[in-house]
Parts: sequence; C-alpha cells; structure tokens
Amino acid sequence: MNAPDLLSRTLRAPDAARALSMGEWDLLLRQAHHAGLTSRLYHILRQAGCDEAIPAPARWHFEAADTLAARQQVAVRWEIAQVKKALGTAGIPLLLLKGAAYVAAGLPAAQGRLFNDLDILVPREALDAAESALMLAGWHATGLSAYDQRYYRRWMHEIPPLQHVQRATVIDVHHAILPDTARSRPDPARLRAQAVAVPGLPGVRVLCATDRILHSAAHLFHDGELPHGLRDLSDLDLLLRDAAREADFWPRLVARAGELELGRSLFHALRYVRHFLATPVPASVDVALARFAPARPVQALLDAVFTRALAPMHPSCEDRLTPAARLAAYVRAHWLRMPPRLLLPHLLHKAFLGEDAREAKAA
Amino acid sequence: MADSIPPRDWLLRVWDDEAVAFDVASGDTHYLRPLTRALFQTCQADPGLDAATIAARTATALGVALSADFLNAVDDGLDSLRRIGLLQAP
Amino acid sequence: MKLLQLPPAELRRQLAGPGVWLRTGPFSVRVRSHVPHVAEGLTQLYGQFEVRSPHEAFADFHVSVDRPRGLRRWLRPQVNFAVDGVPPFKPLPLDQAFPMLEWGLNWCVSTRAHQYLIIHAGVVEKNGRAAILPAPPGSGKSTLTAALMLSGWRLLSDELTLIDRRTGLVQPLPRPVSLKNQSIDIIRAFSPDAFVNRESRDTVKGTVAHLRPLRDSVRRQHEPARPGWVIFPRWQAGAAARLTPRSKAQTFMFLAENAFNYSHLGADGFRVGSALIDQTACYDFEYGILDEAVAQFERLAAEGSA
Repeated sequence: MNAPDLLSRTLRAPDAARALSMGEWDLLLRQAHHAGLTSRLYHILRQAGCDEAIPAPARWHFEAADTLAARQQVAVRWEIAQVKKALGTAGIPLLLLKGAAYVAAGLPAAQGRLFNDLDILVPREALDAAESALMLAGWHATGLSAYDQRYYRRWMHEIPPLQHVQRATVIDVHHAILPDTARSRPDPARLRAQAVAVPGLPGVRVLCATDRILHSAAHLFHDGELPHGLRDLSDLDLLLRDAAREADFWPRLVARAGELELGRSLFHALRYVRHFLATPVPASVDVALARFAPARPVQALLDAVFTRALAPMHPSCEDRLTPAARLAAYVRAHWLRMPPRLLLPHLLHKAFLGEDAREAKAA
Repeated sequence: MADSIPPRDWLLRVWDDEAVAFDVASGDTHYLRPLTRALFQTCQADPGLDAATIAARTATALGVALSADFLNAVDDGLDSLRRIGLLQAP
Repeated sequence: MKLLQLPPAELRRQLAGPGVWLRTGPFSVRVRSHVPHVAEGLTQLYGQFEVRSPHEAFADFHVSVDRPRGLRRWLRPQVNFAVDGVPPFKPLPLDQAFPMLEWGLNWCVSTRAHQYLIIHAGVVEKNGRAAILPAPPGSGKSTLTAALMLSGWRLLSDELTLIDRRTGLVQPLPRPVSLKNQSIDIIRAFSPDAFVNRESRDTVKGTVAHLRPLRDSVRRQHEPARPGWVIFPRWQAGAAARLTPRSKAQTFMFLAENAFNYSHLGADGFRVGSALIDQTACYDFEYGILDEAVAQFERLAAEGSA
C-alpha cells in the first residue's frame, strides 16, 4: 500500500515534528487544514511535548484552530443540555453518539475536534415522540429538498436532520446505528442495553467503549461522503488507544463485533487505522478477525480505494487514481446502506444534480 | 416567589448606567438597558426579594417615583432577566 | 526586497509559475495567477510590500486567481479565487479579477486569523492613537478612511480591524483601500497623492477600484497602535460635521454582532471587546463635506488622551 502522508506520519509519531523543515510545516498545515485536523494535530503535539518545535510563523495557525475547537466544545455541552431538557419533556432518555458522546464522557477523542451535528440514539418506538419534543423546542427539518426528506423518512427510515431555528445547530436522531436497509443489522436494543452513564452528567448516557469503537468503524465504511476520513480514523485511533488500557478489551471488542454483525467493518477499520496511524493492535485480534478478510484480489482493490479515499483531501495526498477511488468509496458505502433497487435511482439523482444536491444534503 | 442568581458563570461589564452580560455556558451576549441593569444590581445585592421590594429599592436607587408605569417596566425588566437566564425563577 | 523592485516580466513569470511570495502586515501570501489584471494590480498597488524568493518555504495563505477550465472560457470569461485549490466563492467575470483577489485575501484573514478579534471597520492612526470606523456599507466609511490616509493619518486597514487578543492593540494590515462608485472620483480629486487603479464595473458592490496605500503606512505596517476612538461615520449630503457621544454598551453590542469572529472567541471575545470599549471614546459622526470631516478628526487627534 502507498506510504501515508506527512500529516498521518506526524500524528502517529509526533516526535518527528522536531525534524521538520519550514517547507514541511507549510505542507503539514495545509494537509491538516483540508483534513479538519489542525486542532487535533496541535493537541497531539502538545501531549507529546513537541509543541515547542512549532516554528514561530506556524504557531498562530495552531492556536487559532485551538480557539475554534475550544469554542465548539462549549457549544456542544450547551447543546447537550438543551437536547436533554427537550427530550426530558417527553420522558425520552438521552443517549449520545459520536462526537457529542466523546465530549460528554471527557474522552481523548474529544480533544482538538471540530463538531458538526449532534447525534442521538432513541428507541424506534420513541422516534415520533422525540421528533415532536425536539420540534417544540425549536429544531425543525429545514433546508432539505422534498427528495431528501423522502430519502430519509421512507427509504432510510430515519428522521431527517433537525436544525434549530435560533442556534442553527443540527441534531440527527437515529434509532439504529446503520440504516434498516443496510446489509449488517447491529441490534440497537443490545447497544442501548450496554450503554453507560456519564459521571457528572445525570440523565445522559453514551455507548460503552467497545460499542463506541464499533460504531465509529461501521460509520467509516457506511458513510458515503469521506471528506474527513482521516479525522474519523484519528478519533478511532484515540478511542482504541484509550480503551486498550482496560484488561480484556481486545477479546471483548472482537466478541462484541460478532454479536453486532460488525466483524467485517471492524476488520477493515483496524486495517486502515493501522495503515495511517499505526494504532497498536495485538496479533491475536488479526487471528480472531481473519475470517472477515476478503479474498486477496478484493483486498488489493479495497486497499487501492481506501488508502486514497481516507487520505486528507489535499492535492499533495492525491494521485490520478484518487478521484476514482473516492467515487468507488461513495458508491460502496451506498451499496452497503441500500438495496440495488434504491441505489441506482439515488445515485443518478445525486449525480445529475451535482453540487446543489450535496449542498442540500449538508444543510 | 423569589428569584435566585444562577450559579452559572456570567461576565458583566458596566458603562455608565448600561451593561453588557456574557453567559459563559451558552456563549450568548446580552445588552442591559439602565432599568434592567439597576434591577439586576438590586437582586445581586440581596437575592430572594419579592418583586414589590425589588421595585421599591430600585426606584430609590434610581431616584424615581413608584408609578404604575415604573411598576410595569419593572415587570418587563424582571421578565427579561429571567428570559436570558441572569435570574432564575424558583 | 520590495515588489516594485521585481521586473514586470519576472513578476508575471513568478505569478504564472511557483507564485509570488509577499508579506502584507502579519500575513505572508503566495499568489498564483495567469490573469494580466492581477499582475497589473499587484504592480500598481503593492509596490511597497515585501516580496521574497518564490521558493520561500512557508506562507500563511496559498491563493490563486485563475480562469476556470471548461467551455465557459470562451462563452463568458470568468475567474475563480481559490485557497490551496479550494474556491470559497462562485466565479466572477474576468474583469473583476483584481478585486476578487482583495476580497479573497480578506476572506482568508477573517475566517482564519482568530488570534485577533476581527472587526468589520476601517482604522487609521495619528499621534499614537487609532480611530476605528465601523459602518454598514454605503455609509462612506471607505471614503473617509481614504481621505484621512491622504491627510496625514496612518492607514492601518480599510476593511479588517485586527485587535490582538493578547495585547489589545490594533495590528496594521494596510492593504489597498477599496472604493466604490462616487467615492472613486471623489478620492481621485481629493489629493494628488492618490493613485487609484482601473475600475471594475457591475460588481455586487457597483463600480469598484482600489487606492494605493501610502508609502509611510506600508513602511510602518509592523507597528501596532493603541485604540483611541470608535467612530461611526455617516455621510449625509449638506450635513455639518458633528461628533456626538455614543453609548459604550450599545457600541459594544454592535461590535459583538458585526465582528467577523466574535462568536468564535467565546468568553475571550467578550473580554477583548470590553477592554477595547474601556479604552476608547465612542461617537457617532455625521458629515457632508470631506474636508470638514478631516478637520474634525484633526481636532480629535490634537486633544489629550480619551
């Protein structure tokens, strides 16, 4: 597989920052900016005591990114409090997913991170009540085309993202971590059963450590857009390093992956998180997950796709195959999420509308 | 029916008889016009007063009469303070 | 080395190749462009700014102004501004290439430079104190900023007032002053020192051109200034020049709502903004005749500290 980029190499070995030339710092910042990882990189450098190696002209870039990340943490905490209040009126317990969960639980994966939407998990039976409670509190399904609304409700059995009228913050309400139409069906009841309380935040729960990791792994390969693939890998890397401090973690992770039908996602995720970020993974895990490995030619193809699609979206990290690789990753994610009869019209619709369709989806 | 000063962090700056307040938890910034500022000052000095006492003390502090208009304005001001979160209704 | 020392052919070669590395205030920029208007604009308006070898290793911003590929090249000539390959805006007509570079550089600073509280305002300095001039478009802020620069005030910026979060001082960024519509002729007539480049018509702001920053303003671009006044100018035909004190609290709220990045700075935005208001005298300023406006500012500068 091709060698990882300067950004990945610095994230996984921050000491290397001491030997970078000014030209490399220039490139590093540009890759980090495109990947949404400037504040994460700063955090990693600080943790390793290498931030004094940052040359004076580059310093403000890191500090400015850090300012944004710190501000967003405050905003996420506030948003969590508002969502908890809103759902509380309907008696629905709050279970946070992804970035908001990392912040709530004070995990290393919250450090230096930028946040988009706030993701929550509710029981399927509570979806309507949750949507009503949130709408009463000011979150509405705005800014989406009629097509996109149908996509979410009818085809993916999800509520479209809800945006707050004043704060413009967005909540994604999920009843499962993968769409109903996907080929893997991790049982949400099992996830909720193992969810853990957050110390210091009564009434707020998050997925347990193994489940957080499995969700991150599944999300990586089932989400069509990969503009922040490396950032998601970095989160996964931090989650794994942190969770691995517990005894028995790896066998529990593998077992849980089996229970949740996410063995293949975990296999792929570990492969690529190691490729980019050299996350330590015991050999026993490779043995246990070997049955999920695809045939060699398929593996070679997947490697060609994902070592490109997950790299920072910067010209210096791309080659002439990268556009095709990104398209392949996009199609594959949708293939995993939707049956063929839904997939083709969906892809045609998105391709035909081009830019506008993507903007509408991101709204 | 006494309001309390909330435990959350607030930053306050006063210029002449107006003020601006920053709610650290939400990141919101608010403007306090002279009466609202004076009401808050009264509540800060002595939390837990009822509306009538707040009105009376603020009127004294401002050197104005306790007219019906003033009392209405006090109600509006206290509502504002509760709405933005500087005062918490019990 | 200054940009004016670069032979024009060399400037064009660098722009079309590795890019020109130049420094504006605290920011270094690498600019690439094949568009002649850009080379011309840089030559005419950025002569006093520092350039270095195109192989200079580090730049804060990597920007390009170039024509997009595709059929449109011949149908309706357009130009794209991009930051490290990513265009933040839609393309504009080719005629607006140089203003687009200016708007693009403003965008880079205002979306990234969070070491400053960035206020949408012009700012000039005299006798050690800076006058910050926030104003909605059409209020005559740029005309006044330009006139003050041409009357002996140091230009710190025409558009982005940078308040250093750590020191509370105004950081200069004395790039060309953007002028619109009638302002262009007014300023050309105002002073023989005024050099205004070619006009771009039919922009979203009307007809636009840029005024070259004076040599002294550029020379002193690394000298921060202490804020002295926040003055809201409003041009009104026939009005006598009048300075009226303004509520500090309301001025603060205006800045909080209109600064580019106040909400990104959290509690520090509040702290820096309040410290600014603490140090400054706040006014509304109405005027009808530019000379009278300048005279009023001279009187302010001559007074003791705020």
